Amino acid sequence: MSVQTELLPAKRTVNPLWYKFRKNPLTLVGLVVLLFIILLAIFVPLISPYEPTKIHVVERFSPPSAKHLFGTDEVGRDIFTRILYGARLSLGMGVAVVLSAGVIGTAIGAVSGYFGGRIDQIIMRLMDIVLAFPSLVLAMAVAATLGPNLFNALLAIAIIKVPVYVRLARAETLALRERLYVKAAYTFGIKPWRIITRHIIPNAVTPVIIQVTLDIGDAILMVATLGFLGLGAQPPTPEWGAMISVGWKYLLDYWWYPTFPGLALFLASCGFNLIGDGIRDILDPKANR
Amino acid sequence: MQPLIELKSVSKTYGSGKKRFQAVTDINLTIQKGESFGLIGESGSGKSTLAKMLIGLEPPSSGTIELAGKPLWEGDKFKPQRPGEMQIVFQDPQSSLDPRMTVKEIILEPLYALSAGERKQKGSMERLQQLITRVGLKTDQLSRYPHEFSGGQRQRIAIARALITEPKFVILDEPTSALDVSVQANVLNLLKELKHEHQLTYLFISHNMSVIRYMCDQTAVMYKGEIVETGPIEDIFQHPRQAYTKTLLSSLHPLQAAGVNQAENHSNELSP
Repeated sequence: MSVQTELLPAKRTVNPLWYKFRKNPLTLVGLVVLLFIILLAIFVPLISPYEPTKIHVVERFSPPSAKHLFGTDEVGRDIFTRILYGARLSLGMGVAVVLSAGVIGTAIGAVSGYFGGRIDQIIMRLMDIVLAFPSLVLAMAVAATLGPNLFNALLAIAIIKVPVYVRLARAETLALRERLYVKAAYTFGIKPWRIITRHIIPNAVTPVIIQVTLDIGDAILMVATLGFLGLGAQPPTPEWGAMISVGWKYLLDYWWYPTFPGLALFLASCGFNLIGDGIRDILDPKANR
Repeated sequence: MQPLIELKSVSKTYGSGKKRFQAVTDINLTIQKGESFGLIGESGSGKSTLAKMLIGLEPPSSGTIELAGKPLWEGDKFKPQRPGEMQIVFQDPQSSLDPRMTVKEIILEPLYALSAGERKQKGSMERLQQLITRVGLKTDQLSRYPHEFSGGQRQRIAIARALITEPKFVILDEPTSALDVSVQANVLNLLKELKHEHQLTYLFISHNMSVIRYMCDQTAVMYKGEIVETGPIEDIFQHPRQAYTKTLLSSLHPLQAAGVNQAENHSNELSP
Protein backbone atom coordinates (compact mmCIF):
# COMPACT_ATOMS: atom_id res chain seq x y z
CA MET A 1 0.00 0.00 0.00
CA SER A 2 2.67 2.45 0.99
CA VAL A 3 4.60 1.74 -2.21
CA GLN A 4 1.53 2.54 -4.25
CA THR A 5 0.93 5.83 -2.58
CA GLU A 6 4.50 6.83 -3.22
CA LEU A 7 4.04 6.08 -6.89
CA LEU A 8 1.11 8.45 -7.18
CA PRO A 9 1.99 11.65 -9.02
CA ALA A 10 2.65 14.67 -6.87
CA LYS A 11 -0.49 16.60 -6.10
CA ARG A 12 -0.99 19.55 -8.34
CA THR A 13 -1.77 22.65 -6.38
CA VAL A 14 -4.60 24.59 -7.97
CA ASN A 15 -5.97 27.72 -6.44
CA PRO A 16 -9.47 26.57 -5.40
CA LEU A 17 -11.04 29.89 -6.37
CA TRP A 18 -9.56 29.74 -9.82
CA TYR A 19 -10.61 26.10 -10.07
CA LYS A 20 -14.25 26.95 -9.36
CA PHE A 21 -14.07 29.85 -11.76
CA ARG A 22 -12.67 27.63 -14.49
CA LYS A 23 -15.37 24.99 -14.01
CA ASN A 24 -17.95 27.53 -15.09
CA PRO A 25 -17.37 28.13 -18.83
CA LEU A 26 -19.91 30.93 -19.16
CA THR A 27 -18.20 32.94 -16.45
CA LEU A 28 -14.95 32.49 -18.28
CA VAL A 29 -16.55 33.76 -21.50
CA GLY A 30 -17.80 36.83 -19.64
CA LEU A 31 -14.38 37.42 -18.15
CA VAL A 32 -12.61 37.14 -21.52
CA VAL A 33 -15.08 39.47 -23.25
CA LEU A 34 -14.79 42.07 -20.53
CA LEU A 35 -11.03 41.89 -20.31
CA PHE A 36 -10.93 42.33 -24.07
CA ILE A 37 -13.13 45.43 -23.91
CA ILE A 38 -11.24 46.86 -20.95
CA LEU A 39 -7.84 46.36 -22.56
CA LEU A 40 -9.03 47.96 -25.79
CA ALA A 41 -10.53 50.87 -23.86
CA ILE A 42 -7.29 51.42 -21.95
CA PHE A 43 -5.05 51.28 -25.02
CA VAL A 44 -7.38 52.99 -27.50
CA PRO A 45 -5.07 56.03 -28.00
CA LEU A 46 -2.35 53.61 -29.15
CA ILE A 47 -4.66 51.49 -31.31
CA SER A 48 -6.63 54.16 -33.09
CA PRO A 49 -5.24 57.16 -34.98
CA TYR A 50 -8.55 59.02 -34.68
CA GLU A 51 -9.94 61.31 -32.04
CA PRO A 52 -13.39 60.58 -30.63
CA THR A 53 -14.87 64.05 -31.15
CA LYS A 54 -12.94 65.41 -34.14
CA ILE A 55 -15.27 66.14 -37.06
CA HIS A 56 -14.19 65.05 -40.52
CA VAL A 57 -17.17 65.71 -42.75
CA VAL A 58 -15.57 64.46 -45.99
CA GLU A 59 -15.60 60.89 -44.68
CA ARG A 60 -19.14 60.91 -43.30
CA PHE A 61 -21.06 57.62 -43.39
CA SER A 62 -18.20 55.56 -44.75
CA PRO A 63 -19.06 51.87 -44.33
CA PRO A 64 -16.89 49.53 -42.26
CA SER A 65 -13.50 49.08 -43.90
CA ALA A 66 -9.88 48.55 -42.98
CA LYS A 67 -9.54 52.29 -42.50
CA HIS A 68 -12.65 52.65 -40.36
CA LEU A 69 -13.30 49.30 -38.71
CA PHE A 70 -16.91 50.07 -37.73
CA GLY A 71 -17.45 52.84 -40.27
CA THR A 72 -18.04 56.53 -39.53
CA ASP A 73 -21.00 58.59 -38.36
CA GLU A 74 -22.87 61.58 -39.78
CA VAL A 75 -19.95 63.97 -39.22
CA GLY A 76 -17.20 61.54 -40.16
CA ARG A 77 -16.04 60.42 -36.70
CA ASP A 78 -14.63 56.92 -36.45
CA ILE A 79 -17.26 54.77 -34.68
CA PHE A 80 -14.74 52.16 -33.47
CA THR A 81 -12.76 54.86 -31.70
CA ARG A 82 -15.87 56.44 -30.23
CA ILE A 83 -17.12 53.09 -28.95
CA LEU A 84 -13.87 52.45 -27.11
CA TYR A 85 -13.80 55.91 -25.54
CA GLY A 86 -17.43 55.26 -24.71
CA ALA A 87 -16.40 52.01 -23.03
CA ARG A 88 -14.22 53.97 -20.60
CA LEU A 89 -17.22 56.06 -19.74
CA SER A 90 -19.85 53.31 -19.55
CA LEU A 91 -17.79 50.77 -17.64
CA GLY A 92 -16.38 53.41 -15.32
CA MET A 93 -19.80 54.84 -14.60
CA GLY A 94 -21.44 51.45 -14.18
CA VAL A 95 -18.84 50.43 -11.61
CA ALA A 96 -18.83 53.81 -9.86
CA VAL A 97 -22.61 53.99 -9.57
CA VAL A 98 -23.03 50.50 -8.19
CA LEU A 99 -20.09 50.77 -5.81
CA SER A 100 -21.36 54.01 -4.33
CA ALA A 101 -24.90 52.65 -4.06
CA GLY A 102 -23.47 49.51 -2.45
CA VAL A 103 -21.40 51.40 0.12
CA ILE A 104 -24.14 53.88 1.04
CA GLY A 105 -26.90 51.26 1.04
CA THR A 106 -24.91 48.84 3.21
CA ALA A 107 -24.13 51.54 5.75
CA ILE A 108 -27.78 52.63 5.97
CA GLY A 109 -29.03 49.04 6.09
CA ALA A 110 -26.61 48.04 8.86
CA VAL A 111 -27.56 51.04 11.00
CA SER A 112 -31.25 50.44 10.36
CA GLY A 113 -31.06 46.75 11.22
CA TYR A 114 -28.83 47.17 14.25
CA PHE A 115 -30.83 49.84 16.03
CA GLY A 116 -34.26 48.69 14.89
CA GLY A 117 -37.25 50.51 16.35
CA ARG A 118 -38.36 53.83 14.98
CA ILE A 119 -35.18 54.61 13.02
CA ASP A 120 -35.58 51.30 11.24
CA GLN A 121 -39.25 51.96 10.48
CA ILE A 122 -38.56 55.38 8.99
CA ILE A 123 -35.63 54.22 6.87
CA MET A 124 -37.42 51.17 5.55
CA ARG A 125 -40.59 53.10 4.64
CA LEU A 126 -38.46 55.62 2.75
CA MET A 127 -36.84 52.77 0.85
CA ASP A 128 -40.27 51.28 0.12
CA ILE A 129 -41.28 54.58 -1.43
CA VAL A 130 -38.26 54.48 -3.75
CA LEU A 131 -38.92 50.84 -4.59
CA ALA A 132 -42.60 51.51 -5.31
CA PHE A 133 -41.72 53.38 -8.51
CA PRO A 134 -40.59 51.55 -11.64
CA SER A 135 -36.84 52.07 -11.44
CA LEU A 136 -36.37 53.51 -14.92
CA VAL A 137 -39.22 56.00 -14.53
CA LEU A 138 -37.83 57.21 -11.23
CA ALA A 139 -34.32 57.52 -12.64
CA MET A 140 -35.70 59.53 -15.55
CA ALA A 141 -37.65 61.77 -13.23
CA VAL A 142 -34.65 62.43 -11.01
CA ALA A 143 -32.31 63.03 -13.95
CA ALA A 144 -34.81 65.31 -15.67
CA THR A 145 -35.43 67.30 -12.50
CA LEU A 146 -31.75 67.78 -11.73
CA GLY A 147 -30.91 68.62 -15.34
CA PRO A 148 -29.62 66.37 -18.08
CA ASN A 149 -25.94 65.70 -17.65
CA LEU A 150 -23.69 62.77 -16.90
CA PHE A 151 -23.27 63.39 -13.18
CA ASN A 152 -26.98 63.74 -12.55
CA ALA A 153 -27.66 60.54 -14.46
CA LEU A 154 -25.12 58.86 -12.21
CA LEU A 155 -26.82 60.25 -9.13
CA ALA A 156 -30.25 59.16 -10.35
CA ILE A 157 -29.14 55.58 -10.94
CA ALA A 158 -27.38 55.47 -7.56
CA ILE A 159 -30.58 56.63 -5.85
CA ILE A 160 -32.69 53.89 -7.38
CA LYS A 161 -30.04 51.25 -6.57
CA VAL A 162 -29.58 52.16 -2.90
CA PRO A 163 -32.77 50.50 -1.50
CA VAL A 164 -31.70 47.09 -2.79
CA TYR A 165 -28.53 47.30 -0.72
CA VAL A 166 -30.32 48.73 2.30
CA ARG A 167 -32.67 45.75 2.36
CA LEU A 168 -29.89 43.27 1.79
CA ALA A 169 -27.64 44.68 4.49
CA ARG A 170 -30.52 45.08 6.92
CA ALA A 171 -31.60 41.46 6.56
CA GLU A 172 -28.02 40.35 7.03
CA THR A 173 -27.63 42.60 10.09
CA LEU A 174 -30.78 41.25 11.73
CA ALA A 175 -29.30 37.75 11.49
CA LEU A 176 -25.83 38.83 12.63
CA ARG A 177 -27.18 40.73 15.63
CA GLU A 178 -28.20 37.40 17.14
CA ARG A 179 -24.78 35.84 16.60
CA LEU A 180 -22.82 35.15 19.72
CA TYR A 181 -19.73 37.10 18.68
CA VAL A 182 -21.81 40.23 18.16
CA LYS A 183 -23.49 39.72 21.52
CA ALA A 184 -20.07 39.14 23.04
CA ALA A 185 -18.87 42.47 21.66
CA TYR A 186 -21.93 44.05 23.23
CA THR A 187 -21.16 42.54 26.63
CA PHE A 188 -17.66 44.05 26.52
CA GLY A 189 -19.34 47.45 26.43
CA ILE A 190 -18.27 48.25 22.86
CA LYS A 191 -20.07 51.22 21.31
CA PRO A 192 -22.68 50.52 18.59
CA TRP A 193 -20.65 52.40 15.99
CA ARG A 194 -17.72 50.03 16.42
CA ILE A 195 -19.93 46.95 16.56
CA ILE A 196 -21.49 47.94 13.23
CA THR A 197 -18.24 48.79 11.47
CA ARG A 198 -16.04 46.06 12.92
CA HIS A 199 -18.39 43.12 13.47
CA ILE A 200 -21.56 43.56 11.41
CA ILE A 201 -20.40 45.01 8.10
CA PRO A 202 -17.34 42.77 7.57
CA ASN A 203 -19.57 39.74 8.09
CA ALA A 204 -22.43 41.06 5.95
CA VAL A 205 -20.32 41.95 2.96
CA THR A 206 -20.49 38.71 0.94
CA PRO A 207 -24.08 39.04 -0.34
CA VAL A 208 -23.38 42.71 -1.05
CA ILE A 209 -20.41 41.82 -3.24
CA ILE A 210 -22.54 39.34 -5.16
CA GLN A 211 -25.26 41.92 -5.67
CA VAL A 212 -22.71 44.53 -6.81
CA THR A 213 -21.30 42.31 -9.54
CA LEU A 214 -24.80 41.40 -10.70
CA ASP A 215 -25.87 45.04 -10.73
CA ILE A 216 -23.01 46.52 -12.75
CA GLY A 217 -24.32 45.17 -16.06
CA ASP A 218 -27.73 46.56 -15.25
CA ALA A 219 -26.26 49.94 -14.33
CA ILE A 220 -24.37 50.13 -17.63
CA LEU A 221 -27.63 49.53 -19.47
CA MET A 222 -29.30 52.17 -17.36
CA VAL A 223 -26.61 54.75 -18.11
CA ALA A 224 -27.06 54.03 -21.81
CA THR A 225 -30.83 54.25 -21.50
CA LEU A 226 -30.66 57.68 -19.92
CA GLY A 227 -28.14 58.68 -22.57
CA PHE A 228 -30.48 57.40 -25.29
CA LEU A 229 -33.33 59.45 -23.87
CA GLY A 230 -31.13 62.54 -23.80
CA LEU A 231 -31.03 62.64 -20.00
CA GLY A 232 -27.46 61.45 -19.59
CA ALA A 233 -24.27 62.29 -21.43
CA GLN A 234 -24.73 65.08 -23.95
CA PRO A 235 -23.28 65.07 -27.47
CA PRO A 236 -20.54 65.10 -28.56
CA THR A 237 -19.55 62.91 -25.61
CA PRO A 238 -18.94 59.41 -27.02
CA GLU A 239 -21.47 57.62 -24.86
CA TRP A 240 -23.08 54.42 -26.14
CA GLY A 241 -26.67 55.35 -25.39
CA ALA A 242 -26.29 58.81 -26.90
CA MET A 243 -24.65 57.31 -29.99
CA ILE A 244 -27.49 54.87 -30.49
CA SER A 245 -29.98 57.66 -29.93
CA VAL A 246 -28.58 59.66 -32.84
CA GLY A 247 -27.70 56.64 -34.93
CA TRP A 248 -30.97 54.74 -34.97
CA LYS A 249 -32.50 57.29 -37.36
CA TYR A 250 -29.89 56.18 -39.91
CA LEU A 251 -30.37 52.46 -39.34
CA LEU A 252 -31.90 51.68 -42.72
CA ASP A 253 -29.31 53.54 -44.81
CA TYR A 254 -26.20 53.23 -42.68
CA TRP A 255 -26.77 50.11 -40.60
CA TRP A 256 -23.36 50.21 -38.91
CA TYR A 257 -23.96 53.48 -37.11
CA PRO A 258 -26.36 52.28 -34.36
CA THR A 259 -25.48 48.60 -34.63
CA PHE A 260 -21.94 48.63 -33.30
CA PRO A 261 -22.59 50.77 -30.19
CA GLY A 262 -25.57 48.51 -29.48
CA LEU A 263 -23.40 45.46 -29.81
CA ALA A 264 -20.80 46.93 -27.46
CA LEU A 265 -23.51 47.64 -24.91
CA PHE A 266 -24.84 44.12 -25.22
CA LEU A 267 -21.40 42.54 -24.79
CA ALA A 268 -20.46 44.67 -21.79
CA SER A 269 -23.66 44.14 -19.83
CA CYS A 270 -23.69 40.45 -20.72
CA GLY A 271 -20.07 40.12 -19.62
CA PHE A 272 -20.77 41.66 -16.23
CA ASN A 273 -23.87 39.53 -15.72
CA LEU A 274 -22.00 36.31 -16.51
CA ILE A 275 -19.20 37.24 -14.14
CA GLY A 276 -21.74 38.19 -11.50
CA ASP A 277 -23.38 34.78 -11.78
CA GLY A 278 -20.00 33.11 -11.51
CA ILE A 279 -19.00 35.08 -8.44
CA ARG A 280 -22.33 34.30 -6.82
CA ASP A 281 -21.79 30.59 -7.43
CA ILE A 282 -18.34 30.78 -5.87
CA LEU A 283 -19.19 32.86 -2.83
CA ASP A 284 -22.64 31.45 -2.19
CA PRO A 285 -22.83 27.84 -3.37
CA LYS A 286 -26.24 27.35 -1.79
CA ALA A 287 -27.99 29.91 -4.00
CA ASN A 288 -30.27 28.54 -6.69
CA ARG A 289 -28.97 28.94 -10.17
CA MET B 1 -17.64 42.07 54.09
CA GLN B 2 -19.53 43.49 51.18
CA PRO B 3 -20.34 40.81 48.63
CA LEU B 4 -19.03 41.34 45.09
CA ILE B 5 -22.27 40.28 43.48
CA GLU B 6 -25.65 40.51 45.10
CA LEU B 7 -28.97 39.54 43.56
CA LYS B 8 -32.10 40.57 45.42
CA SER B 9 -35.36 38.87 44.46
CA VAL B 10 -34.51 38.86 40.77
CA SER B 11 -37.17 37.59 38.38
CA LYS B 12 -37.34 37.39 34.63
CA THR B 13 -40.43 36.77 32.53
CA TYR B 14 -40.54 36.55 28.78
CA GLY B 15 -43.58 37.42 26.70
CA SER B 16 -47.00 38.23 28.04
CA GLY B 17 -50.53 36.82 28.16
CA LYS B 18 -50.75 33.19 27.16
CA LYS B 19 -47.15 33.12 25.97
CA ARG B 20 -45.89 34.40 29.30
CA PHE B 21 -42.96 32.38 30.51
CA GLN B 22 -41.30 32.76 33.87
CA ALA B 23 -37.63 31.96 33.25
CA VAL B 24 -36.27 33.01 36.62
CA THR B 25 -38.24 33.42 39.84
CA ASP B 26 -37.25 35.41 42.90
CA ILE B 27 -33.53 34.72 43.01
CA ASN B 28 -31.51 35.84 46.01
CA LEU B 29 -27.83 35.22 45.69
CA THR B 30 -24.57 36.62 47.02
CA ILE B 31 -21.13 35.92 45.67
CA GLN B 32 -18.19 36.93 47.84
CA LYS B 33 -14.97 38.28 46.41
CA GLY B 34 -12.53 35.51 45.51
CA GLU B 35 -15.17 32.84 45.48
CA SER B 36 -15.77 30.34 42.79
CA PHE B 37 -19.51 30.09 42.76
CA GLY B 38 -21.12 27.18 40.97
CA LEU B 39 -24.56 27.27 39.45
CA ILE B 40 -25.96 23.83 38.68
CA GLY B 41 -29.15 22.94 36.93
CA GLU B 42 -30.54 21.11 33.96
CA SER B 43 -31.12 22.78 30.58
CA GLY B 44 -33.91 25.33 30.78
CA SER B 45 -33.57 25.83 34.51
CA GLY B 46 -32.73 29.52 34.03
CA LYS B 47 -28.97 29.42 34.57
CA SER B 48 -28.13 31.14 31.31
CA THR B 49 -30.89 33.71 31.76
CA LEU B 50 -29.27 34.60 35.05
CA ALA B 51 -25.91 34.99 33.32
CA LYS B 52 -27.47 37.20 30.63
CA MET B 53 -28.94 39.49 33.27
CA LEU B 54 -25.56 39.76 34.98
CA ILE B 55 -23.64 40.58 31.82
CA GLY B 56 -26.17 43.00 30.35
CA LEU B 57 -27.84 41.01 27.60
CA GLU B 58 -31.28 40.80 29.25
CA PRO B 59 -32.79 43.22 31.75
CA PRO B 60 -34.39 41.65 34.84
CA SER B 61 -38.18 42.01 35.07
CA SER B 62 -37.93 42.81 38.76
CA GLY B 63 -35.39 42.83 41.56
CA THR B 64 -31.91 44.34 41.70
CA ILE B 65 -28.50 43.11 40.70
CA GLU B 66 -25.55 44.80 42.36
CA LEU B 67 -21.86 44.69 41.64
CA ALA B 68 -19.82 45.85 44.65
CA GLY B 69 -22.87 47.60 46.06
CA LYS B 70 -23.74 49.48 42.84
CA PRO B 71 -26.83 48.46 40.84
CA LEU B 72 -26.03 47.20 37.35
CA TRP B 73 -29.43 48.01 35.86
CA GLU B 74 -31.35 51.26 35.82
CA GLY B 75 -34.69 50.08 34.48
CA ASP B 76 -33.95 48.53 31.10
CA LYS B 77 -30.59 50.28 30.77
CA PHE B 78 -27.42 48.41 31.64
CA LYS B 79 -25.16 50.78 33.57
CA PRO B 80 -21.96 49.09 34.73
CA GLN B 81 -19.69 51.35 36.76
CA ARG B 82 -16.57 50.54 34.82
CA PRO B 83 -16.45 48.66 31.53
CA GLY B 84 -14.24 45.60 31.56
CA GLU B 85 -14.90 44.84 35.21
CA MET B 86 -17.02 41.82 34.33
CA GLN B 87 -16.37 39.41 31.49
CA ILE B 88 -18.03 36.29 30.20
CA VAL B 89 -16.76 33.15 28.53
CA PHE B 90 -19.50 31.59 26.45
CA GLN B 91 -20.28 27.95 26.01
CA ASP B 92 -19.70 27.71 22.29
CA PRO B 93 -16.26 28.91 21.17
CA GLN B 94 -17.25 28.30 17.53
CA SER B 95 -19.68 31.17 17.45
CA SER B 96 -18.34 33.51 20.12
CA LEU B 97 -15.28 34.56 18.09
CA ASP B 98 -15.69 36.89 15.10
CA PRO B 99 -14.64 34.84 12.04
CA ARG B 100 -13.30 37.92 10.23
CA MET B 101 -10.87 38.92 12.94
CA THR B 102 -7.42 37.64 13.76
CA VAL B 103 -6.72 36.19 17.18
CA LYS B 104 -4.85 39.35 18.11
CA GLU B 105 -7.81 41.55 17.14
CA ILE B 106 -10.22 39.27 18.97
CA ILE B 107 -8.27 39.36 22.21
CA LEU B 108 -7.75 43.13 22.10
CA GLU B 109 -11.37 43.89 21.18
CA PRO B 110 -12.78 44.28 24.75
CA LEU B 111 -10.25 47.07 25.35
CA TYR B 112 -12.17 49.31 22.96
CA ALA B 113 -14.73 49.80 25.69
CA LEU B 114 -12.04 51.41 27.87
CA SER B 115 -10.40 54.82 27.72
CA ALA B 116 -7.57 55.29 25.23
CA GLY B 117 -4.95 55.45 27.95
CA GLU B 118 -6.09 52.29 29.64
CA ARG B 119 -6.32 50.58 26.28
CA LYS B 120 -2.73 51.39 25.47
CA GLN B 121 -1.51 50.20 28.82
CA LYS B 122 -3.46 46.94 28.91
CA GLY B 123 -3.10 46.20 25.22
CA SER B 124 0.68 46.40 25.06
CA MET B 125 2.33 43.81 22.86
CA GLU B 126 4.22 42.52 25.86
CA ARG B 127 1.05 41.90 27.84
CA LEU B 128 -0.65 40.34 24.85
CA GLN B 129 2.19 37.90 24.32
CA GLN B 130 2.30 37.08 27.99
CA LEU B 131 -1.43 36.39 28.05
CA ILE B 132 -1.49 34.25 24.93
CA THR B 133 1.37 32.06 26.14
CA ARG B 134 -0.29 31.83 29.54
CA VAL B 135 -3.45 30.33 28.06
CA GLY B 136 -1.34 27.86 26.13
CA LEU B 137 -1.08 29.29 22.63
CA LYS B 138 1.96 30.47 20.71
CA THR B 139 2.67 34.11 19.94
CA ASP B 140 2.98 33.40 16.21
CA GLN B 141 -0.64 32.21 16.24
CA LEU B 142 -1.82 35.76 16.94
CA SER B 143 -2.16 36.57 13.26
CA ARG B 144 -4.33 33.52 12.50
CA TYR B 145 -8.10 33.34 12.18
CA PRO B 146 -10.45 31.39 14.52
CA HIS B 147 -11.32 28.71 11.97
CA GLU B 148 -7.71 27.55 12.03
CA PHE B 149 -8.04 26.44 15.66
CA SER B 150 -9.59 23.50 17.46
CA GLY B 151 -12.47 23.90 19.92
CA GLY B 152 -10.19 23.80 22.94
CA GLN B 153 -7.79 26.35 21.47
CA ARG B 154 -10.69 28.63 20.62
CA GLN B 155 -11.92 28.47 24.17
CA ARG B 156 -8.42 29.45 25.29
CA ILE B 157 -8.62 32.44 22.98
CA ALA B 158 -11.99 33.34 24.52
CA ILE B 159 -10.44 33.07 27.99
CA ALA B 160 -7.54 35.33 27.01
CA ARG B 161 -10.07 37.80 25.61
CA ALA B 162 -11.98 37.79 28.88
CA LEU B 163 -8.83 38.48 30.90
CA ILE B 164 -7.38 41.31 28.79
CA THR B 165 -9.36 43.97 30.67
CA GLU B 166 -8.23 42.60 34.05
CA PRO B 167 -11.77 41.87 35.23
CA LYS B 168 -12.69 41.21 38.85
CA PHE B 169 -15.55 38.93 38.01
CA VAL B 170 -15.77 36.34 35.25
CA ILE B 171 -18.88 34.44 34.26
CA LEU B 172 -18.12 31.02 32.82
CA ASP B 173 -21.23 29.83 31.00
CA GLU B 174 -20.62 26.11 30.53
CA PRO B 175 -17.11 26.84 29.26
CA THR B 176 -16.17 23.22 28.69
CA SER B 177 -19.40 21.49 27.71
CA ALA B 178 -18.80 22.03 23.98
CA LEU B 179 -15.31 20.55 24.21
CA ASP B 180 -13.92 17.04 23.90
CA VAL B 181 -13.63 15.24 27.19
CA SER B 182 -9.86 15.02 26.76
CA VAL B 183 -9.58 18.80 26.44
CA GLN B 184 -12.06 19.64 29.21
CA ALA B 185 -9.72 18.84 32.07
CA ASN B 186 -6.94 20.98 30.62
CA VAL B 187 -9.19 23.99 30.20
CA LEU B 188 -10.62 23.55 33.70
CA ASN B 189 -7.14 23.42 35.19
CA LEU B 190 -6.16 26.53 33.26
CA LEU B 191 -9.21 28.34 34.63
CA LYS B 192 -8.38 27.22 38.13
CA GLU B 193 -4.80 28.43 37.88
CA LEU B 194 -5.82 31.75 36.34
CA LYS B 195 -8.24 32.35 39.18
CA HIS B 196 -5.42 32.19 41.71
CA GLU B 197 -3.00 34.22 39.62
CA HIS B 198 -5.45 37.07 38.96
CA GLN B 199 -7.51 36.90 42.19
CA LEU B 200 -10.66 36.39 40.13
CA THR B 201 -14.18 35.69 41.25
CA TYR B 202 -15.99 33.13 39.16
CA LEU B 203 -19.60 32.36 38.50
CA PHE B 204 -19.32 28.91 37.02
CA ILE B 205 -22.43 27.68 35.25
CA SER B 206 -22.72 24.03 34.39
CA HIS B 207 -25.06 21.08 34.27
CA ASN B 208 -22.15 18.82 35.03
CA MET B 209 -22.02 18.02 38.74
CA SER B 210 -18.47 16.70 38.74
CA VAL B 211 -17.14 19.79 36.95
CA ILE B 212 -18.82 22.04 39.51
CA ARG B 213 -17.46 19.98 42.36
CA TYR B 214 -13.97 20.23 40.93
CA MET B 215 -14.10 23.95 40.24
CA CYS B 216 -16.19 25.60 42.92
CA ASP B 217 -16.31 26.26 46.65
CA GLN B 218 -19.89 27.58 46.87
CA THR B 219 -22.80 26.40 44.84
CA ALA B 220 -26.47 26.92 44.12
CA VAL B 221 -28.81 24.40 42.58
CA MET B 222 -31.39 25.76 40.17
CA TYR B 223 -34.58 24.03 39.17
CA LYS B 224 -37.35 25.53 37.02
CA GLY B 225 -36.10 29.06 37.50
CA GLU B 226 -35.69 28.87 41.25
CA ILE B 227 -32.75 28.24 43.51
CA VAL B 228 -33.68 25.15 45.49
CA GLU B 229 -30.52 24.80 47.52
CA THR B 230 -27.39 26.79 48.17
CA GLY B 231 -24.29 26.38 50.31
CA PRO B 232 -20.67 25.23 50.43
CA ILE B 233 -19.96 22.67 47.75
CA GLU B 234 -19.09 19.72 49.99
CA ASP B 235 -22.19 20.25 52.15
CA ILE B 236 -24.37 20.00 49.09
CA PHE B 237 -22.59 16.96 47.79
CA GLN B 238 -22.41 15.15 51.12
CA HIS B 239 -25.73 16.14 52.67
CA PRO B 240 -28.18 17.23 49.99
CA ARG B 241 -31.37 18.43 51.66
CA GLN B 242 -33.60 18.81 48.65
CA ALA B 243 -35.08 15.96 46.70
CA TYR B 244 -34.04 17.51 43.41
CA THR B 245 -30.40 17.81 44.46
CA LYS B 246 -30.46 14.16 45.46
CA THR B 247 -31.77 13.22 42.04
CA LEU B 248 -29.06 15.26 40.38
CA LEU B 249 -26.40 13.65 42.52
CA SER B 250 -27.66 10.15 41.92
CA SER B 251 -27.39 10.77 38.19
CA LEU B 252 -23.70 11.28 38.68
CA HIS B 253 -22.02 8.20 37.33
CA PRO B 254 -19.25 6.78 39.53
CA LEU B 255 -16.90 6.71 36.55
CA GLN B 256 -17.37 10.41 36.01
CA ALA B 257 -16.49 11.10 39.59
CA ALA B 258 -13.35 9.05 39.14
CA GLY B 259 -12.52 11.08 36.05
CA VAL B 260 -12.58 14.26 38.08
CA ASN B 261 -10.28 12.78 40.63
CA GLN B 262 -7.90 11.97 37.85
CA ALA B 263 -8.06 15.52 36.60
CA GLU B 264 -7.39 16.71 40.10
CA ASN B 265 -4.33 14.53 40.38
CA HIS B 266 -3.28 15.72 36.98
CA SER B 267 -3.43 19.34 38.10
CA ASN B 268 -1.43 18.50 41.18
CA GLU B 269 1.28 17.06 39.02
CA LEU B 270 1.32 20.16 36.85
CA SER B 271 1.36 22.79 39.53
CA PRO B 272 4.69 23.14 41.27
